[in-house]
Amino acid sequence: MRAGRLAVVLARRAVFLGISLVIVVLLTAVIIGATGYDKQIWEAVINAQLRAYQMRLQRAGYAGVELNKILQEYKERLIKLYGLDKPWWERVFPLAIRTLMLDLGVTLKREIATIAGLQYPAPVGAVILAVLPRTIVMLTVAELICAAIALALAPLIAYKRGSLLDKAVLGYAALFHAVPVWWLAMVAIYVFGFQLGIAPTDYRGVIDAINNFWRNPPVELVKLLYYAYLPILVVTIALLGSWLYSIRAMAIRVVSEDYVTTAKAKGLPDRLIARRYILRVIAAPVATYVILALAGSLGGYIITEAVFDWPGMGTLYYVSIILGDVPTLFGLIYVTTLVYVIARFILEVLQVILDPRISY
Amino acid sequence: MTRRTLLPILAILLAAAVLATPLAAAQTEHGPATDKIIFIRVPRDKAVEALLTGKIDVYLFGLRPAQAAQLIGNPKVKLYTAPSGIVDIILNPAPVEIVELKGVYNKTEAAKLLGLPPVAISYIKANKTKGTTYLELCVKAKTLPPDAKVIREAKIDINPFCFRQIRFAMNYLIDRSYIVNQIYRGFAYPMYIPYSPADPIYVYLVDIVARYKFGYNPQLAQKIVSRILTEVGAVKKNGIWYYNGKPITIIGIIRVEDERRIIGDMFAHALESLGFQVTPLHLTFGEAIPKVYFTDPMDFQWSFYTEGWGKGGISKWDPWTLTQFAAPWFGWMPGWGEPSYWNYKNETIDKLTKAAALGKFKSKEEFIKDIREATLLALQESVRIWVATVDTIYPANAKLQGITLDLGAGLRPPYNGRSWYIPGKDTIVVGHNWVWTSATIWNPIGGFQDVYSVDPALLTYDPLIWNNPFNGEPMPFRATYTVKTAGPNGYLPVPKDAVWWDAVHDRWVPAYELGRTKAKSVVIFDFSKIIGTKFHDGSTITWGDILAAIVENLEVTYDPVKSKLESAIASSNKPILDKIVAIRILPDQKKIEVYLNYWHFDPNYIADYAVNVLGNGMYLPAPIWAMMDYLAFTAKKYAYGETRSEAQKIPQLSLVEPEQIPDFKKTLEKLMDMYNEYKNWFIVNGVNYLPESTWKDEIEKALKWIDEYNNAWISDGPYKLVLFDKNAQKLVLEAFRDPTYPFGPMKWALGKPIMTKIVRVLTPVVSPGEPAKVTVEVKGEPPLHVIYLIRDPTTGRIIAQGKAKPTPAGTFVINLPANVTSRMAEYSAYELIVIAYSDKVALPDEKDVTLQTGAAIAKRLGELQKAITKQVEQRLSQVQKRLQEIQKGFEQRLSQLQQQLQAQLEQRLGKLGKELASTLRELLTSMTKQVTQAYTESTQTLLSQLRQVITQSTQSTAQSITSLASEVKSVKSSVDTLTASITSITGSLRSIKSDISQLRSELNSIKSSVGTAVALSGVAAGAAVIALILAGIAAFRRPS
Repeated sequence: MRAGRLAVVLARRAVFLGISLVIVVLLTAVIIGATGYDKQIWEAVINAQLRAYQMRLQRAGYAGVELNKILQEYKERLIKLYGLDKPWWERVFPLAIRTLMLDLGVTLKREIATIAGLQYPAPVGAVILAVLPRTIVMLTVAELICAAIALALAPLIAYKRGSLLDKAVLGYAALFHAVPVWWLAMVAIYVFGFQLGIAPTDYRGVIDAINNFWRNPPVELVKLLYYAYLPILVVTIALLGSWLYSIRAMAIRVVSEDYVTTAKAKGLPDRLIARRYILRVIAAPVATYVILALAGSLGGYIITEAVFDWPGMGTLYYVSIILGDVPTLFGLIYVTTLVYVIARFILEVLQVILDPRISY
Repeated sequence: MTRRTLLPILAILLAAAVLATPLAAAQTEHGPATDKIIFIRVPRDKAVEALLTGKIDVYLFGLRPAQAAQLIGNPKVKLYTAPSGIVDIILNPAPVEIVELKGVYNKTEAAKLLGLPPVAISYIKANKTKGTTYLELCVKAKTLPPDAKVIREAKIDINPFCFRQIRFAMNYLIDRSYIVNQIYRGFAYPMYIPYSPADPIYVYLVDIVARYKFGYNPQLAQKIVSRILTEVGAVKKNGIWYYNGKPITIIGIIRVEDERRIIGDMFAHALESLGFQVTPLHLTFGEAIPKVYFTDPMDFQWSFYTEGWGKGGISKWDPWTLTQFAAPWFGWMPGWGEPSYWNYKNETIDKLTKAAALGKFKSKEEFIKDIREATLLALQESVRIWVATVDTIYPANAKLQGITLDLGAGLRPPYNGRSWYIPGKDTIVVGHNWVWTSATIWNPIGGFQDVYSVDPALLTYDPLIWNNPFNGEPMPFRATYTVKTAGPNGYLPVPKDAVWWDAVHDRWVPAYELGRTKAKSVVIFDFSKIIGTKFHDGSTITWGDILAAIVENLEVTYDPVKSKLESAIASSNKPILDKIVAIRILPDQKKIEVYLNYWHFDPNYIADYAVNVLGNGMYLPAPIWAMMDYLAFTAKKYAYGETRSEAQKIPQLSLVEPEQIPDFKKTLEKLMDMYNEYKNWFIVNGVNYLPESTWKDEIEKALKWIDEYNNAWISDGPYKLVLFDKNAQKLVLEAFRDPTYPFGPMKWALGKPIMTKIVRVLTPVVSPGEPAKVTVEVKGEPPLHVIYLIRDPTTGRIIAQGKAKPTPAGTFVINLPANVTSRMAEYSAYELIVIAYSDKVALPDEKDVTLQTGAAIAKRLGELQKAITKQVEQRLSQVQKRLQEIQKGFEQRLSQLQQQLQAQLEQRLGKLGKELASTLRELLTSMTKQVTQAYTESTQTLLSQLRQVITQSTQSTAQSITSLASEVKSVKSSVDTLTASITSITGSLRSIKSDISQLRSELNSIKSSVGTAVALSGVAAGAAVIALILAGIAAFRRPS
């Protein structure tokens, strides 16, 4: 009975999350279309193309009526090509609906294809699939490492609040919270890459290793690690402080509970207390933190990616917004929202598993 | 020899061998100077570190000035610069009201009707047929006649940049010197017109720039602005200009990505200090472009915008830069040629630039005249305020050799790369911003639109013609040529065996059958360095391969179906290829003739036009052309051009794109049996230039190449493309050392141009009304030219300008005739602007010196007399002093001599000689006295004579000058008299000199007399001694 109710509740949640996804995509469509954002971008593109074409024609000797006729034809073709002959809702909503149907369309900007390393025009789905693994290799892996270290250390530190280790961790967290990741990345490349020569200075090779990973996994893994170790290390160092601090804060709440004191009085080993009496209790909020952090990592880091010349999701987001590549933007928003929705759903399930107080 | 001594010698020999390798290669090998060139991606921010740590040897994307400044003085790196960017401020010249008056009026009449001063009318055009007058106004009309029609009205009442005079004044508001030296750290040139000093044509315009001599002069700008605004009724209150009670506002769009942010802010502050209310908008590319270029200027969304432009290579006779930046017909002036917007108008600039750009000139002089006039007008109009030409800074390993400093392209190919080497290294690593982007397309028809494909590709093929790196004139590269032309109006007959491609029936037909019987010019290209040499895959280049390149170009342009599919390429190719009349192959001579209806006063430009039909050397094996044609038009899987690619959503064909390789292989295999479908490409006048066996052989070799290198770029230049890894952003070029390759390693190492330099300008003090000569010493590559301008700095007026004459001594002389100097005031300073340039190297040198004037001639002569008298008196007193010194020295010397003689005599004669000595002393004393007296007398006589002569001459000069002061001719004779007097003074001085020598000889004779006396006294003493001895003997013999 309980399981049945649980299934209904989870299904209801799933539907609710699904509706959220649709609303997000449609809202994006309204924002992009009703504000005139996409129209403005397309007009700029059309004008730039027209001017370039006009210059070529004029240099070739076209003038007067003949020139205007060719330009007008070209302009009309471009207007039709970019859908500017239609009202915004006719242009944007079909795109949003196609996106929801997982038909993400084709990117309309060369720069987007360049980021993905694909020839232009490239399908948006292929672009995201090409770029996403790069972000996972750098950021998600680093977040996972941080999570592992923080889960192992933080309860212990919280338990020994005020100790030297605790103070050291707090100092570390405060310091690296203030240091931007991209700055640390620049320093790391300078020191390990250019000065010591033990890390690459050019990280483009990682794309080849990721793209061709399944051709020869052991060899490509070594190549991947060669390119990825410094970025992962940098991101881990930069993020670990926040992770330790946050998990420690969650743990401190329960450290002063009577049952912890009792366990301590019983003479149980510290590690056991940390694991069973602290970590288990805070498992639900920790899981939320971890899952959302991992989901968030898929959004990428714009500047850090630029420093490592590691074109990931951050770069893709940035360029598609700046250039107004609407299909890519829709694709990214859809994929990111979808990841969050899935993460939320996983959390719903985990809450039930981890927190015995939750019952339906 | 021991082992110890042998080892260092061997080491030295080995090192010498290593160092000498490239040099030896230079003399013996075919192909480039280095075995391998690797291109890798290095973002600009990492370029300095990559270079300093040896990861790259050269960076081709260029550094920012601040980055380059870090490297100055670093012994590991050398910096090379080439101007490649332009920064300007475009002003919105739109009117605030457009009115049409009934009736035909001139400016003054129309202004009166509207209650405005004439300066408020920015444009007027009367239509006599319709009986109306069209007017554009910088301020809104005060009164409007009842029959007047307001065509359009802006939301503001006044636009200060609508006034031509205010726009022009902005030239004085920009501190170009600060911008160039501080903001760009010296890696820029100040700029005043659309052409920069690096443009070869600038030498014909430099006097126009010099004429205005724009310096930072905000006071002058303020003066001009105040005059105009006051005239139209604006008032300044508390430092702010008001019109109709509202402050005059300016919206400045300032780009934020680069140095233009500082320049824009500086300009905004300067405008504020003039009394305008400035709203600066700091925007990025994406935000700024739509606001400026896609809005109607009369909507006033912007008043000024900081523009930036890239600059390509240099071209000697370039009309396009001016056309693009100053001529409304080209569509790059405010209004942007968009019919629904208000558009800036200037019919004269349009007419002049159309003539120059579209080849409607009959001579070089006419071309230059058009460009000069249009430039001057553009400067006066000042819609764009030119700020600076910015250098691209190319850093390179200090050991890199074989460099050509291309004044347009810097270190970029084709003049660079082929001859590069680093002693002791066989690989050069080149950093570029990208190696691959999705716009990096390697196809010869619609690709090569970005530097990332063009730069490496130019090392893999040899163009037929390329612009000279130092003066931008087209010059032979892989093919030499001769040009015959009938002139701008004449025609040459086209021979019967010349042919043209019939794109409808796909075959070569005799040109006369298509009515192509005459042409203005013919260019005969010598292909002996191409035909019979090898492609990179080992196949031999035939006329068939050349024909394939020609056919595919013509097919895309003229084939009814293909030209429609690739309409963007076809429409831009067509007008150019329309002027090509026919081609004729001369296989025995390995020559090809191109007949064309194109004329230019520079024959190299005719040849440069003709290569349009020959693909300018980008040759590939014929089956590769067929493969591209098949994939683009039969399979329709790929597009040549970007427009078709976007419209049909198919990728652009790129011969290096890994994703396309399987299609290439499949198509080539298919083409193996499709020879008959393409054989018409190769049959000209019944001769088949590519038989089926060659076709198949070329396909086999191409397939092998693709298998080996995973690309289909099979070219014929000094390097072959052996790796293209787009993911790793890496590209590897390997030396092509086939013995048929015509060029050696150092063929294209042209070094640095010898820059023209004015060493010295020797200026006299100019007497107004008298001719004057200025000598100019110039260094540089002959033929050199020197032009000059004389400018009155107080009025800005140009007093004279002209060309200096070369002298046999190698210097140049500026002859300023009397009628020019008579225009100059006495005791004034004028600016003499001297400009030297070479026909062979762009970048003229300019030196500004001050030309001083003195008094007019009569006055000058009086001054001259005084000056001479003073000088002579000074000289006289010097001579007198010197004579006294000589006399004193002489006396001292004489007295010393006397004492010495006395001492010697005393010594020699002893007691016996004492008497004789005393006699001699007396004698000597008296002689000395006499000599001294004689000397003193002669000196005094001389001095008095000298004084007399000088007094006389001075008097005579004074007399002659006084008497002849009124007439210049007689004054000249007095100058002659004066000269004669000076000659006589000189003569007197000479006689003094001879007197002194006479004295010296007298002294010598005294010396010799004294010597004789000494000898005589010796003889006397000897005699006395003998006498004493004889007396002694006689005494001894006497019996006691």
